Amino acid sequence: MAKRILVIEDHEDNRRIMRDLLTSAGYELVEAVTGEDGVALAETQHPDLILMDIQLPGIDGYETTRRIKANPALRRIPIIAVTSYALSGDDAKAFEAGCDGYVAKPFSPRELLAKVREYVP
Amino acid sequence: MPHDRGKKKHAGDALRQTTAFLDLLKAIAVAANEAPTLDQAMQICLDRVCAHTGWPVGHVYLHSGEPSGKLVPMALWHLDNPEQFEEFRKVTEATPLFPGLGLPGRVYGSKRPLWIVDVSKDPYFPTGKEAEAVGLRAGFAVPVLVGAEVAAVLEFFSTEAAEPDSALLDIMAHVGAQLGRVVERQRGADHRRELENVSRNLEHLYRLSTAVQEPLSLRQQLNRVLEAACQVVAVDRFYIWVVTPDDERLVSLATAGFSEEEVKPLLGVEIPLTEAGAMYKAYRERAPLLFDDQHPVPPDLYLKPPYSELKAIRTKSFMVIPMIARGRRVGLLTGDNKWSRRPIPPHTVELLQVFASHAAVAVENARLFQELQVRTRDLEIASKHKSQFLANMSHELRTPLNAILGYTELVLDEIYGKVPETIRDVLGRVQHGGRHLLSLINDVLDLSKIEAGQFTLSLTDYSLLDIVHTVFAAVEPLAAEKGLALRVAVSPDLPRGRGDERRIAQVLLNLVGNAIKFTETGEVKVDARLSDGQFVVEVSDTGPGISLADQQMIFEEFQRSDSSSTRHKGGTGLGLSIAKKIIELHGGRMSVESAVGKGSTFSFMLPVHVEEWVGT
Repeated sequence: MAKRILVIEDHEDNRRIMRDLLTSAGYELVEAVTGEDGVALAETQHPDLILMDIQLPGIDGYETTRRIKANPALRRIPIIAVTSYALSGDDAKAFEAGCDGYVAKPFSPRELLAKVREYVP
Repeated sequence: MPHDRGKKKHAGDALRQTTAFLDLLKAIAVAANEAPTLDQAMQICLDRVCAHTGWPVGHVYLHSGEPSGKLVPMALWHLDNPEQFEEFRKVTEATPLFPGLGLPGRVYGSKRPLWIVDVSKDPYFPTGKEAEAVGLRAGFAVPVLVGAEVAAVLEFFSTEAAEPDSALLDIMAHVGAQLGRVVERQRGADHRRELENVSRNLEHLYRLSTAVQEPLSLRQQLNRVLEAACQVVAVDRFYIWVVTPDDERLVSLATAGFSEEEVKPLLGVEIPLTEAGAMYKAYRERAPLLFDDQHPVPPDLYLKPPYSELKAIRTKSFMVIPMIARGRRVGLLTGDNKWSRRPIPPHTVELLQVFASHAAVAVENARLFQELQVRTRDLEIASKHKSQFLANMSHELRTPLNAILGYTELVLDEIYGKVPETIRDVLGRVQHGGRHLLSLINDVLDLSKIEAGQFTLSLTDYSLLDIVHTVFAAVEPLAAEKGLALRVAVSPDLPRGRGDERRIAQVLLNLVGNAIKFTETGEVKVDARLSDGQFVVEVSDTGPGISLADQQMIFEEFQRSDSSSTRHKGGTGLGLSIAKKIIELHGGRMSVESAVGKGSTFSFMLPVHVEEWVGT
């Protein structure tokens, strides 16, 4: 059975690149545009990995991460923050919020895939 | 025997004459010593000599001190019969003389006494006619010598023509010398007084000039100026008016000598410049004005109503001095003798001009300081806005670039199907261009963050060897493409460091990338070792080298080595500047050693352990 990845990302192109990359690599994708939707989808879909954008409309990626990690049923799901290089200290803040990994934007699809495979081979 | 008798008579005359001379000299010596002023000493001298000779007229010319040797007629006379000589006196007092002219002019030149048998027949005696008209004939004059300088000339006239009396002239030379000593003494006293005055004034001014430099408020400084002025001159009250920046109004800023009740209506008073009467005139003409009972304020220079109702500043004896600093009119210093009603002497106004210029400097400095503060604040805000704008801008630019690079890579990786070779080549160029654009945007972003002070280091433990290997892995294809040898020499036992690993890798990547970019043949070598407890990393190449002049500039923002061979290499010219700043944020140093044609070596020293405070 294909591993399921939840992508929480508001930018259409980024979502499509991840979708095309990861589905062609054999993953099943679930997508959310906002943090609230992301939390809801995580609860209903129980993904194997979450790719989390940080700059989101409404609650940001840090808060979304905190809410997901606060749910004992979801706590084990690894979350990779996909954060903008523009904001320094983002990586540290992401780990603080409970993220397990970190990929800087703009990401190379090849590198993102390598990172994803570390968590869900 | 007549001969003998004649001799005796002569001897007796000579004795009497000598005695008389001695009496004269003694009297003059006493006068010279005791007379309180030079004028009095000279008056006694005139009287005594006239009494001794029986000549009715004695007079003094004084040397003006001018280089022309101009001699000024004094109002010092001995006149046996003033009415008889009235015309001569008037004409003489109106006739200054120059060297060579008249009796005194010639004495001035020769510095010796001179005798004229009959002045009415002398061609070089300008007032000969007037002298003849009042019956004057013989004349002699004697210099008052101070050292070798003729300070004054005494002249005497007789109503009869007379042959020179050499004995009298000899004795008169002594008289001149005596008076010279009086002049000398007087000058000494004047000089001393003057020195005392000057030094007292200097002391005040010194205190003022230091006050102007002290970090006092403008009002305090102006008060100091006025306090000092009060101590130096006899003026009842002062006030300082400052011109508003729009050059329209006068604002009262400081006063001295006013009672509290007098000051009250003046506080914060603003007078439109054009309504300010005499003050406006002084301001407009940049010249002081002085008024008193003898020189009253003309009605057109009265303060205009309602300001004329300011009783506290309505007065008759007053002066207005424009305050000018570095050519700018900044205000007015005014002073009055409202209560004593004494006229203010002109030399007081002169002295107060110095105080006015001190006050002006204080006002001008305060204005400049304020201007500077405003400008600095504006600049800081503008700079912040610029950095913020650049940060936002580059962030916004990266989002679409992310899509370009992402899709290109997906296509090249054949996620969307097989890619023909021709399209692959073109897409490779798109990808290359996109990555270049990204690195430019990142550079601008880094620099704007550094400038905005938002550039912080994420400190972790790192291995320098790992960093070198990572960088080498990234640049190997580039070096291989150009046929350059990449060599590395890292000491095997380097300790682990603490710093911002990603940023240090960025620095090394920049240096090695540049070295490869600018080197056409040969090698690029990285050397890393520990020296004096610091990491030392050197990146050397066999490239074209950098001239000394260019070495000064390459670490500056937007500067690159200017040789035309490097023009086409691309890049923002920000990389090195950012690299240097990153190293400095770590508490390290970056430098370059190079010579044209000899290659370049860029090196940086980096503390092994960077503490948290560094770079904040």
